[in-house]
Amino acid sequence: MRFGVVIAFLIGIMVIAPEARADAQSCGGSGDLNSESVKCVKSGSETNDYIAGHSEHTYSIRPACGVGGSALCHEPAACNIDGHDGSLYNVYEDAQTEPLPWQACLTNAEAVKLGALTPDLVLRAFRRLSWPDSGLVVQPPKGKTLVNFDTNFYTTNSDPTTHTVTLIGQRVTIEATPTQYTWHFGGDDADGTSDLTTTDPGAAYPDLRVTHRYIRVGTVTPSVDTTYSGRYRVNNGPWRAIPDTLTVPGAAVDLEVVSATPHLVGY
Amino acid sequence: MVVRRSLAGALAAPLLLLAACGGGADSIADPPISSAPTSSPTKPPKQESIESFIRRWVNEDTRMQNTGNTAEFRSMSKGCDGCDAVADRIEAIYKAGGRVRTDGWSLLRSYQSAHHGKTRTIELLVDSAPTAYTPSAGASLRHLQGGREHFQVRLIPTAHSWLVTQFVQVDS
Repeated sequence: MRFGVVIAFLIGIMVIAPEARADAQSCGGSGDLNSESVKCVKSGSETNDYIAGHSEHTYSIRPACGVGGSALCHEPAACNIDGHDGSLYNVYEDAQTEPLPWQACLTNAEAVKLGALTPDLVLRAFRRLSWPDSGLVVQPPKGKTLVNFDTNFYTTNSDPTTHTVTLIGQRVTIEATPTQYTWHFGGDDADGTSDLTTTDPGAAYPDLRVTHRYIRVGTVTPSVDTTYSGRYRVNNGPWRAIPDTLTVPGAAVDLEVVSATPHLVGY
Repeated sequence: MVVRRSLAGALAAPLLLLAACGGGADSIADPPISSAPTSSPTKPPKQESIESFIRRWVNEDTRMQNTGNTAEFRSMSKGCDGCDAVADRIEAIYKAGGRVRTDGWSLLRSYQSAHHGKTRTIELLVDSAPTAYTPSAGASLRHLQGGREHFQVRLIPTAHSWLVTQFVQVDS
């Protein structure tokens, strides 16, 4: 009898103790309306565990959009889980077009291991590809200019260039647009203005937008370096910015700086 | 699980009884909502602390669920898909004639896990009270068992307070 009372008491404690519902919820649970409504995020190791536990399926991941939504994606969503910074990825099972209801917060290394096309991979491709250098046009032409005279410089390289490559089995279009020009006028001018950085490619005479005045006679080798900003898109999806720039040095041209002596040729 | 469901039902029963007796929302004390920082005419208001903002946001979440009024909760976030998803869900329930009863979250622990520029990442370990709700008028009552959960929010500062920009649950 007494034993029965003890058992009943223990069962009572088990039923009413708050701990009975205090187990940690995994994202699969339905703890409340918040957890039923928001996205669940798994770490890299949990994502790997999930994939290992569903070996009958194949999985692929794609960056989740952070700014602008999937239609106007400007950058992948940043995340931090277990103290590690990463990016959010949608996880796709087999050939499903809708991602799984949770997202993976992965470091670059974790994402690459899972076969993701990461911004870092695209950046490496951006750097590896060949982009045009800017041909320098000098006016006056024919490799000669005058000392103490506004020599005009420009380049016609101002339009975007695109390359299409295959990365992790996906068709990626990378576009590079010249956004900055660094003009090296050459020589050793005492006025310290032998370099100039502009966003302007300059223009042909008489529109003098990038000029330099040499203060000494001699031979100089001016050139212009082109800094490209890039963007990419996967399978004709939305454009995403490449988070770094690339500078292509330009070829130097020979330029003779001469002085002119006035000669009376008629009256 | 059976124990949990029974327990959730047992906890939810008094709530429903009160609702059935006409007590409705009035019969369940709303969680306290801290007032906005007061400002004097001469001194600019102080920046609200993250802790204060989180408490206010958690309270507002509970109040929103119990009243169906999502405006204040929405005003505390910007570009936050998770926040909008919760608010949309609550709005849909009340629009369909349903209602929600919950005591909401008890914050067990909150801490900043990352800090990038002005953005702060805050981990929220909570004990969620059971929820009883009807998704629409005349629908049968549903129960969510509550329990310990791990959420994460991202905050950006405003002139005097903060805005939630990301609200997710962390699988832990």
